[in-house]
Order: sequence, then C-alpha cells, then structure tokens
Amino acid sequence: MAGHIRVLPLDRDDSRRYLPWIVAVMVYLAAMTLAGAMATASMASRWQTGLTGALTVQLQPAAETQANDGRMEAVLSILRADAAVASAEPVDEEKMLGFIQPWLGRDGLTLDLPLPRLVDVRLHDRASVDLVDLAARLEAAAPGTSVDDHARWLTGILKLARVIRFIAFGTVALIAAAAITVLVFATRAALAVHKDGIALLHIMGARNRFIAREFQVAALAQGFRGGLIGLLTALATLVALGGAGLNTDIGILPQVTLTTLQWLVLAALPPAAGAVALITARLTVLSVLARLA
Amino acid sequence: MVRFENVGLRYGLGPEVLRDLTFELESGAFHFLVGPSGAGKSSLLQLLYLARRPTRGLITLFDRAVLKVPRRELPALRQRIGVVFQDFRLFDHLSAFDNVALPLRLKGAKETEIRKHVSELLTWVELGDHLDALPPTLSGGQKQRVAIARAVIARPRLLLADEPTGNVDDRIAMRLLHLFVELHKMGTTVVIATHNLELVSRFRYPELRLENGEIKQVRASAQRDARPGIEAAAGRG
Repeated sequence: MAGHIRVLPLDRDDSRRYLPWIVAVMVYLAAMTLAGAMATASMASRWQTGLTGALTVQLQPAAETQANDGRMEAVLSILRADAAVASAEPVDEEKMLGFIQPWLGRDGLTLDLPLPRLVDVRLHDRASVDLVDLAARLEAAAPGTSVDDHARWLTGILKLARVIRFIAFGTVALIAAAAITVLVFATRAALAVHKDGIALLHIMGARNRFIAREFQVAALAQGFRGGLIGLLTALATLVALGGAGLNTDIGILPQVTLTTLQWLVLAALPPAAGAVALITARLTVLSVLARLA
Repeated sequence: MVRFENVGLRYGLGPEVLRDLTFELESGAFHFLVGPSGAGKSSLLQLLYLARRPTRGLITLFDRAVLKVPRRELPALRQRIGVVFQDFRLFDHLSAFDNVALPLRLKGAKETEIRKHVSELLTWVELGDHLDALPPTLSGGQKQRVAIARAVIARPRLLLADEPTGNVDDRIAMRLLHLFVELHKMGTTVVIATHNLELVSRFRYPELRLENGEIKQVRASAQRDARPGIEAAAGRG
C-alpha cells in the first residue's frame, strides 16, 4: 500500500501499450543514424591525422626497370636533403600489390602490369614545403615524377563527412519530431480514455500537476523501456555490421569504430527517450487540462 | 457556508433543469435533499461540488463567490468538500485502502498518518478485513461504504452524498448515517440527497425539497409532526 500509487491505469491502455515499441523503432533509427555519422566523423578525423604532414611522390613507370631504380635514387636523394622532410621511404612492391589486389585480384596479371613507384614522405611537425619548387626539382632530376600532398582529396573527404554529419543530425531531429508527435497523440488519446477518472480527481481536489505526474511517470517508464529495446537492437546490428566488415577483405567499407565518448552518446539515447516522453506528456496534459473548465 | 441566489442551470441549449434556486446552508447544518427522480438533485449536487458552473445566478461557497474563484484555487476549495456518488465512482484497479487514502494523498498527508486513519475508518465501516480488496470483488454495499469512507476521510467542511444508503441494508444504512451525524457534530455541513423518506423521517433535520428544478420547500423535521421513538431508534443504530 506504500510507495507511489498509480491512480490512473495508463499502462493498460491500448493507445499506450504499443508506445514502447514505437519509441524502440525511433531510437533504433536514431542510434543507427548517429553511429553512422560518428563513425564517418571518426574515419575522416583518422584520415586527416594520418595525411596531414605527409606527401606522396609518384614515379611513372619507365620502359626499363633499371632506369626506374636510378630515378628512385635521385628522388630519394633530393627529398632526404630537404630540411622540411623527416623521412622519405619508397613503398615496397608487395605493399603496392596489396593496394590494387582488392580490384584486380592476386594473379599473374598484376606481375606484368607497369606500376608507378611511390615514395611516402613525412614532414617535420609544423614544417612547410614549397610544393611547386619541390615538384620542379624532382621533375628535373627524375622525369615523370609528381608530388601529391592529398589536400584536394582530403578536402573532399572532410566536406563529405560534414555533409553526412549534417544530414544525420537533421534525420535525428526528424525522428525526434515524429516521436514527439506520436507521444502527443498517445497522451491525448489517454486523456480521452481516462476523462472520467480525471474528472473525479478534479472533483476530489487534484491539481493539474498531480494528474500530469500520473502521465509523465508512465511516459518516462515507457520511453525508457522503448529506448532500451531500440538501443540494444541497434548495438546488435552494429556488432553484426562490424563482424561483416571484418570478414570481408575488399577494404572498401570503413570499419565502424567509435570512441568512448561516442558510445556514451549512444548509451544516452534511452534516458533521452524517457526524458522526451516525460516532458511531452507533461506539457500535453497541462495544456489540455488548462483548456478545460 | 453555502448560498444560492437565483441560480439556474441548463445543459446546452435545453430547458433549465434548475430554476431560480435561492437558499442558504449555514455552517454546520445538516439537510436532506429530497424530491422525485429527475427533479434535479444530482444537478444541484454537481453545482455544490463545483463540477458545474451555473448558467445564471450567484453561488457563494465558504464565503467566496464561486464564479470569481481563480482556477488555480479551485482544487483547494474542492479539497474541503467530500462527495459520495450514487454510482460510487471508485478506481477499480486501486484497493479499498488506496481508494480511501486518495483524498489524504491529494492533500499531501504523511504515509504513516494515512495508514493509521484509513485502516481505522475502514474497520469502522466493517471493511477492516477488505483493505486490499479491489472494488470489482466487493458487493454493492461494500463499495458504498468504501465510497463513503473516501468522502469523509479528509474531514471535509461540506459533505455531499447522493443516495448514500441505496445499496445497503437498514442496519448498515443507520450506521453510515450516524457517521454523517458524527461528522455533522464535529462541524461538517452535510447534504444528503435521497429518495428514502422513511430514512429522512427518522432524523430531525431540515429538508430541501426539489420539484421540477425548483426548491419547493425548506423545513426542519422538528417542525413536522413529532414521531416519538424514531430519533431514539436512530440513536441506537
């Protein structure tokens, strides 16, 4: 007999019985969208970190292998003599084959394919290089050489990541708006179902906030329960996606990896769903009751 | 305590169900509200427990003009009124205990006080062994006793009862009416709407007689022919 007494049997309403499942679907969609956006952001960040302060020098394949080797020595010599360069290492052939293997396969064909030679160049921290000047010097010493600082590619990737993040937040906002709309209608339906009980409570001297508390306690429990179901389902999906990504060797799809903070963002979804449900129910009930005589 | 001045009530565009009601109930009064079915007894009670507003006239309750009371102050006013409904209006999913405890919880009473008073009162109305029973498992008479206990538990200043003894036998009816009498002696103003003229005649309290939506007669049973022995019988009940 002690403890909180639920005066209105809101959990038994048909209008609210399916609410946790609707919230679960919403939270699932929100979790997947956020996870996708955060994984993309992490990936872009990793690319940015990995490629900032790095250059790639490419030597076009020459007619004869011997000539190739001579040009490589000249290129390495110029690069290593530059004060801004921390290291300049040629990318070995096995690694090169690894890069193209996902597209061309590992068969005899690639052995006959004329491949460019690459040099991975790392610059000192905060060092800058005059790319035009460096490219000219390298071209003079080894014709068929080009220098790439990845800026163009990286700018495109970062722009794409920003767009994806913007779309994801917009999608989550739409999902939240849809969830709030459903909650408002469910609360209004429950108010109609329990109008006799509410009228009785009013006659007995219940304040609107007492009645609103009935609804918000039920909404908090249902929202949190639905959010938990949605999050657990999303986590299962993410784990399955991670497993699928690990099992494939095509190397095109980025691996879904999230930071601790990003996992915490996902973990906050059920409480957030509960809080949104609580606030929506409270405001809806108070708004409807305020219009009553 | 209660004053009606030229009060009228109509539902929608229909005819007036109550017309030109003018009367006053003093603090601590006890009245029977009598009249045939459809006379407007329930409508008058609804005006008294602030479930409806009159379409005309002035109602003063606890020295305040009802129409001028701000909405936020209505709950406090309503908490001073206890109501027993003809159809009980219990919450079916709440136990007898929790139904009776509700007015105290609305007032913010402590749980220890609630437990003590509710148990005592339910025991008094012979439901001490039904504290945890849900209303659907109770008989009509038991439900009525729960409804009455709920109406009186918070010691209201005004107690309104609509046919409070309609579903109980004579012995329980007298016992319940004596509960109302005890509350009346403690200063509660009581209005009991009833068809049961036999019951009315056993108590020497004034009547408000409603016929066709109008107050026809207000008189005290003391003014009627004395019926020796009836009051004594009531006193034994």
